[in-house]
Amino acid sequence: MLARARLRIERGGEGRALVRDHRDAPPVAFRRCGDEFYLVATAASPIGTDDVEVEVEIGAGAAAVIRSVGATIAYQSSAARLRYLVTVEPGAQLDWHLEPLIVTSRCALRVETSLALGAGSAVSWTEEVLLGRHGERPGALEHRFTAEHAGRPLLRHDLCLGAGAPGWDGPAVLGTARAVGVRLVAGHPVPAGSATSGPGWARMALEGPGYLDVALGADRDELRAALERAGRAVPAGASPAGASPAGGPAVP
Amino acid sequence: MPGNDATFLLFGDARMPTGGHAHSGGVEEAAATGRVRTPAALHTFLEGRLLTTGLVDAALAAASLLASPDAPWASLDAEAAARCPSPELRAVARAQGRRLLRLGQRTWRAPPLDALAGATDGRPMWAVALGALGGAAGLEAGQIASAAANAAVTGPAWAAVRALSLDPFDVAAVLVQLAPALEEVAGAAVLAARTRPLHLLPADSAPLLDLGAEHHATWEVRLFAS
Repeated sequence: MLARARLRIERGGEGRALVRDHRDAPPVAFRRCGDEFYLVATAASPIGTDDVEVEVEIGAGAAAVIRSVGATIAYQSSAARLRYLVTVEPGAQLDWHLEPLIVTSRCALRVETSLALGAGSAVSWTEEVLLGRHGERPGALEHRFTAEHAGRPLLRHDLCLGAGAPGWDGPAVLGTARAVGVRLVAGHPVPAGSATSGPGWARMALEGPGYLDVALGADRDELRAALERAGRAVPAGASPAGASPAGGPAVP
Repeated sequence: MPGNDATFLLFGDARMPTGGHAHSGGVEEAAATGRVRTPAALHTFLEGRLLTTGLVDAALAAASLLASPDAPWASLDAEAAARCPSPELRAVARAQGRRLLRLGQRTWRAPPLDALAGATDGRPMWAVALGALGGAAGLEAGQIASAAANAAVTGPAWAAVRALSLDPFDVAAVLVQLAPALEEVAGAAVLAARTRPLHLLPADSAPLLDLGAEHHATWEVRLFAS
């Protein structure tokens, strides 16, 4: 299945979000629910050789919250592709958090998320990936996440996991965790070099304006809890480059 | 180029004064939390490290060498930093990049190295500095990618001898087993550097290395700086 879905949101009167351009394309539809927009799966996907692109633009000064109705289950596939191309124009805000991606045993899927963030925009972008259903070995996932802020690279963060990625379940990459999450919080000034961490999570200041939260868990519940703890953490101490632990925040 | 092989070997010498010996590449933390205890676990650790940060560094080093002498140093450096979310690991990469660059400036007096220093406040990311030195030394992209991939595993491997009291002969055997993977990674890195724009160079991440580095940085007592 080849699909190109598109949504453009602009700032309307009294700051309300206005939908300017809206194209559903199976397996993806957008539904508005109050101030939130939901991605709705209208067909089982990704499966086979699906090539699905979701393009979202948040116009200058607009604000949007985007969620999804259900998890994305990556079914049996070969070279399936799912792309999110997202532009957040200057001064716009986006809060994006879909239900998890579930990597089943016979999938071979590449997910590409590409964020172009304008100057003065603010974004919270959360990704959750579950490696296999209960007790299942995951298929092959290439998860590519890239963000640019005002034309400069902010984050290039790929996760190549499961079949075809030797060492992915070893002690350097995921270990025994089968749920991994990342959250990019961009557009807020961040004390340079600051970070805080706890068991299974860290909130880390990027070189550009933003944090990356990384969280691991045995399952979805543990992952959610770790992501929540990271989200509440305030990296207090900005430690100078190459610094010793002195002045760094304590691990809870 | 005459002397090329000998120069290449120097790039793989852990005793070069770039400070690499002070870092365990995450092994000390992985050992303390029990994730690495045996040579077999060390093998899996090194394999994961090689295919993630090792590949990323090798590709950035190769891209930096290929773009020399007039490379877009600030862009290369920003691409390297965007692939390293952990502030602790960025600090390590910049500290080692600074020492490597100083060594290069002392040795080759090449204008591109001064340009790199100017573009990065004298603290380039390690992989970019390595590529720049390779360019100044007249090495091939494949050689510098091999040197980067090699550094991704040999430093942590020998750190495991100290952190875990592993038998050094077992560790040597693990490294020999990894040799084919090292060559594959170096080859993939050069291919990416030759065929992809900078923003599409490999960016494979290893969450436990990032979390571990931030955790390790809070320890009061440790053998290694990272």
